[in-house]
This record gives sequence, C-alpha cells and structure tokens, in this order.
Amino acid sequence: MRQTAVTRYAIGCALALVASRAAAQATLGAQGFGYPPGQLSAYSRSLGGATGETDPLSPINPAALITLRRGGMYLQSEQESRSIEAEGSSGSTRSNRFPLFSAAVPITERGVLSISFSTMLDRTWGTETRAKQVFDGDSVAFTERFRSEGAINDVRVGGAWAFRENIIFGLGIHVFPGENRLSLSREYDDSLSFAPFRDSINVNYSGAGVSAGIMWRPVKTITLGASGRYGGTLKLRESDTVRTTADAPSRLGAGVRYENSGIVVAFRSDRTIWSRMAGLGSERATPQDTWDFGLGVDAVGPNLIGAQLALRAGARYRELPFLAGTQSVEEAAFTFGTGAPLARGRASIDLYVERAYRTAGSIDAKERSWTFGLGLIVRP
Amino acid sequence: MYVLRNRFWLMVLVAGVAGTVAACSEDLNSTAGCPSLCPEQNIVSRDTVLETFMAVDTTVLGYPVIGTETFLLVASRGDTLDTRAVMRFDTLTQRFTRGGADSAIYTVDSSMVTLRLDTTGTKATAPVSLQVYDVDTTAADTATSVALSLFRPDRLIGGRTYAVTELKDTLRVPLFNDKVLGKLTGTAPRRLRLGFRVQSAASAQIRIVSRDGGGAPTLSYDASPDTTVKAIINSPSSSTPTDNPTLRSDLTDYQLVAFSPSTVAGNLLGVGGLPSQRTYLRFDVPSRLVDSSATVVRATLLLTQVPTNSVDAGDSLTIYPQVVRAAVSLADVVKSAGILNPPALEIDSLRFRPNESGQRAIEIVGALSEWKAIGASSLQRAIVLRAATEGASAPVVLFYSSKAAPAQRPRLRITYVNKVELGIP
Repeated sequence: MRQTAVTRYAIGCALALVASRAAAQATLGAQGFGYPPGQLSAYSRSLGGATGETDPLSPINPAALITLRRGGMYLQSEQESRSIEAEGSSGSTRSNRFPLFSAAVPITERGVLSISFSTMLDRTWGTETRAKQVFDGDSVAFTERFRSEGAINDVRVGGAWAFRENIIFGLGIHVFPGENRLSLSREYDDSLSFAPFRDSINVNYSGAGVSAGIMWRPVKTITLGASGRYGGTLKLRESDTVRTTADAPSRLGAGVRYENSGIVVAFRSDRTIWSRMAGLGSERATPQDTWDFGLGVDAVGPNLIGAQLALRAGARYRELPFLAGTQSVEEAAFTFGTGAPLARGRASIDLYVERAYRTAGSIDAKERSWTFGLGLIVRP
Repeated sequence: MYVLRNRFWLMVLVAGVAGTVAACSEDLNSTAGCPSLCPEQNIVSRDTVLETFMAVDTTVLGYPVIGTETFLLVASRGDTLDTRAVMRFDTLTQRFTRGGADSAIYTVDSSMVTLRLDTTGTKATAPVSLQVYDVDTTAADTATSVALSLFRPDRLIGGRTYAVTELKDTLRVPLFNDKVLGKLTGTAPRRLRLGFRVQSAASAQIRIVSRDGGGAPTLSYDASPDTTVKAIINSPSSSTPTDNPTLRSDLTDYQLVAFSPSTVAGNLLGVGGLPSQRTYLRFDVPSRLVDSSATVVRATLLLTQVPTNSVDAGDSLTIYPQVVRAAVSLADVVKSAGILNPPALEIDSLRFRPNESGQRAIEIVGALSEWKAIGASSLQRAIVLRAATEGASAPVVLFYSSKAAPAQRPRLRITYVNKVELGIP
C-alpha cells in the first residue's frame, strides 16, 4: 500500500461562502443567553410586575415570603406566541415554559421558609433558513436549522422573619443551574452529492448568589419592599470542562404597594446588573445593565356565579439584558389578568394575558408577543 | 349554589389546563429576523485535494461470474465483436395428458423458444437471423472453445430471420420439431441445451434478459394435434454440475464471448467491455477527515478519462460506483470487488461516453459517510466502478490510474466542516 498523504492542502480552504447563521436567534427578545421572563408570579405579572417586591410567590424579595404564613405550593405555566417583522419578512414562533415553581412552609408564627425554582434566562428558540452554497462552481441549495432549548435557572432557598408585625426581613441563598441544548443541521437539496452537516452540544451552567430583602408597612394601606441579590461566580461548562467564567447578575429593586377598599395600586423599579455576565459568552453576547419599571392595579371584580373575581391590569417597561448587534432591546408590555379562590380558599388560580412590544434602536425589526399565563397555588 | 360555583371554577380550571396542554405544541423555528438579529457565524467549509489517497487501484476481470449475467448479449459486430448465449433446458416434460389418459410424447409441433429482449440493447440495421444450435455435449460446455465448436450447421436446431421492426421485447424463435422430438424420445439425457447466435448483413446484436435478470425464457411445444391439449411449456433448468448447486443454478443460462477487441486496461482503469472489467479503488483517507469530529459534506473523486475506440464508443455507458462490503482482512482484490452494496445506495450512477476524454467527477460522499459510521477496522474503504450492463455491452470506459503522470492521476477533493462552536452565544 502506497503511502498516503495530503500532498496539496489546498486551495487554501476555499470555502465556500455561505449565508449561514449559526448563532442565529431570529428574535429580539432572546439574544445572548436568552430572554428573562422576569421571575414573576402570574399575579405580579398581571400587574406589570409592580408587586414583585411584595409578592411572596415571586422569588425576588425573600421578605415577602412572610405573607405565605399558611405555606403552600405554586406552579406557573406560560405560553408565548411571538411574531417578528424584520427587513421585509415576518415569522412567528410558539413556545411554552414553566417559569416558576415554589413551595413554602411556616416556621413558628413569625417565619416562613421557601424553596423556589424559576427561569432566569430562557434560551429557547429556533431558526430555519434557506440559502445556497457554492462548491467549486456548483451552487447547491440547503436548509439550515438551528435550535436552542433550555435555560439558566434560579433556585432559591429563602426565609422571612417578622421582627415586628410591620417589619419583615428576608434572606435567600441562590444557585443558578442551567442547561442549553443546541443543535445545528444543514441539509442539502442534492442529498446524493452532499452529506448533511449535523452538530449538537449541551452546555451547563452553575453559579451561586445570596439575596436579602425587607418589607415595611408604615401604615395599614402602604407596604414598601426593597431587595437585592448578589451574584457569585457563574461558570459555563461544555462536556464537564469549564469553558468560560463570569459573575451571575446582581440586582437591586424597590416597590410600593397601596391597598385600600379592595383596590391595590403598586409600582416597582428594578435595576439588574447583567454586565457581570460579560465574558461568559463571546463578544457577540454583550450584556447591559437594565431597568425594569412596572405599574399595576388590582381591583375586586364582579361576582360571577358566586365566585369573587379579581380584575388586574398592568404596564411594564424594561430593557432586555443582551444587545441585538450594538442596540439595546427595549420591551413595553400591557397586561390584563384575573384570579379567584378555589376550593373554599384552599387554592387559587391566577390568569393573565400580556401583549409585549420589543424594539432595538435602529435595527429594522419589531417583535410582538402574546403571552398567556396560568398560576395555581394550593394551600394546606 | 355552592355546587354551581364549584362547577364553574372546575370548568375554568379544566379549560385552563386544557389550554395549557394544547399550547404545549411548540413551533420554535422562525425564518425572519436574519441576518440583522442573527450574528454571522459562518459554517466554514474547507476544501482539500488528496492526490495520494489511493491504497489500491486496479482493474478486475471475472465479473459477472459466469451464469450470473442479468443480460445475455448475442452480437455479430463484424470483426469487432462476436458473442453468443447458452440456455439449458435440462428437464423437459416428456409426457402429456389427453382426455384423462397419460401418454408419452410421440409427436411435436410448434416448438419454440420464447425470449424477452432488452430493446435498449438491440442494434440492427438489416434483417437479423437468430440461429439456435444444439450445444449439448458431454464435454465441459462452459469452456468457450468447446461451446463455440458446437455452433456448427449439423447442430442447428432452429432459428428465424427477423426484420428490424420485429425485434421487439418478446421474441419467439421456432425450433425444428423433429429435432426436438428426437431429444424427447432419444437416449438419456433427454434435455436441450441451446446456443444462440445472430447473423446479419450488417452489424447486429440483441440483448436477452436472462433468468437472473427476470427474463423467464421458456421452451414450448404442442405434444398433440388435438387443440384441446395445451402446449407444454418448459422453464430453463440445469442439472450439472451435480456437486455444486449454486453453479448448477447459475449455469441455467450464460454468455460466451467468441471474439472481442482487446480492451484490457493494462495500467489504465477499465469499466465495462467484453469480457467485462471492473475498477476497484481502495482509499486511504486521512483519519482527521473521516474518523474525527469533522463532517465531510462533499467528496468528489476526480478521474481522468482516456478515450477509446471500443465497440459503440459513442454510446453512453452507465456506471455504478458501488461501496465494497468486504472485510478489511480479505486481501484478495478480485473477491473483494464482488462483495458490494447495491447500486445507487450511497453513490449515484453516472453516464460516460467511451470516446470522450477529460476529467470526470464522481460524488462519493455517501461512501465516506458510511465509512465514518462503520469505522476503519471492519470493512474495506473501497468502491468498485462497474457497468450497469456488465457483461452484456461492449463499450469500455478507461481512466488513468495512480501509475499515470501526476496530472492524470486520480484525485479526491473533499469539502469538510470542522466542529462548530455552538454552545457559547
């Protein structure tokens, strides 16, 4: 057998140039490491996130857990239908997620202990593109599919303690596990002459953080809440090898809630330091620090067949953590919701629908989404 | 009232859960938004051309194995080609039934052989005489010289001259009834072994679909003038050699090449012709391409064709590149060249004209994909080029081998993609 060797390594990688987009998200909301659903319960979401600092079901302010003195278990699901118009073309996607689960137990009459699992960054999207590749003068069409599923999550073990009836402190310990499953395939129309290209990979995340919060009710109708979270080291692993390291995002937030005669009005602002994640991804995944503002109203609604409904509405403005190109992505959302007790108060259900608008500076793209959410809590 | 209220909320809950379940059907793919929202991350495909990748490249003779031909070429192409075919009817029905009474055959009428032709292989410009000879002998009739010696006038047992327009897909060739009866009533073995030959004022050939090709030729005769007695139809069969059932079955019909121009490839790589040639190519592709995380998306075998003046050199010859399934440990190239995957499974067929020259491209990425999946230790990484009408068509296509001048040697152009960084956005 004659010696075999690559004698001419040629043509210097004559590579055929391809209109391919392997890192493509094709959405404004899910750039970089993904879209942040907000870690808000269905109740807070229906008020534009305005009650996030005083809501025990939203894993934001651990002090708010005190209002779950009966304990309970909570599960939330969301279905998002997203459409995008960009550069003269349009597309739509449909996804569902379970962004929040939590359980709480009372500790004496002054404390509550809770564990929650929530989605911090949802990196679920897919693209399908048609393009042509030129091989040594031959042009062949192909279909390329790129898909990402999974998220970076926030698991919090938190507790709240009422030092006085109107002053509550809370502490939380966070870990940030996560997994993204990515797959890329390119299938050529001429399958006899061209073999498909397929690749896939799983990346895992791990990190930790701590949070603290306070809730103060200076008068019977007003509740103030403030909290912060400090993110520790966040690692990205590929096949058990640490590829990149950065810090988990930290955040600070404050909110106020006014409640009188069955009407709740709330406002919240939140600042998340996503830039601490810089370096976890490539230079294309540029994180920015973001503001999040929410305003919402919750009122006693009609009594329908004996059931007391709540009517809720909210508005929210926020920036999303990862730039699209060099442009900041902004989101405005309007929400309507309802809720009612079930089983003589042993359970309750919250429903909401949200219309969101996302834009990114000078980029010729507009994203719209409808999100339907359902939260169910069961109390002992 | 309480019952009503709970029913209402139960309905709400069920509707919510049903809605949630219904919404679980995801559709994540979107085509809009790129490229502005899709940072470019080209899948960079690289080209490399291998020039000394060939571990073995040679021409192999001996295929198809005698008796396994799917077509039988019967040709008389002047001084360039003379081929014949032999068909065995070693089991003949020697009795018939009339009115419930069984009787030995004592007369024969309308005896004939019915053949199916592959009309794409028919070439005739003048009337064609198809002659049938009794080629039965106690000698080894598979030896070409022995068989050819039996195509003589005293052994003529049938035949007919056909106009060109009569050479359709079914051909009925009359036999001499007295000679057929003599075979049926004579001394054992009572069998017919028929040799077929064509003659014409011009160059002529027919291509018979063999039993292996599904042609189902028959030998029939009327055993009684009574029209209520149906004609007796015999299928071809072989009774020798007795010690080799496979060969015995194969020899039911087979091809003889009486004369053909010398188209043996020598240092060239040959495909087709009579006797037929195959090209065996065994590859030694660097493992960094085939056995690594790289994906070969295109592999083109570049061969330089040498023009020939073979018979029908202007006709296209369909070539099947087929992946060899022989084990790595099988050192015999001829045997290896016979253990193949079915045609057009991994590699598409191609058509070449023998009288043309220049570079020819064969896309073999399917073979490389299979080799990667199987691994390097079990099966040979080789392909065979063979004619679709192997053994039944005269054109031969020649290529330069790795022994030729560097510019004419086979080359392998591979386009591959290294592992793509997917996980980190």
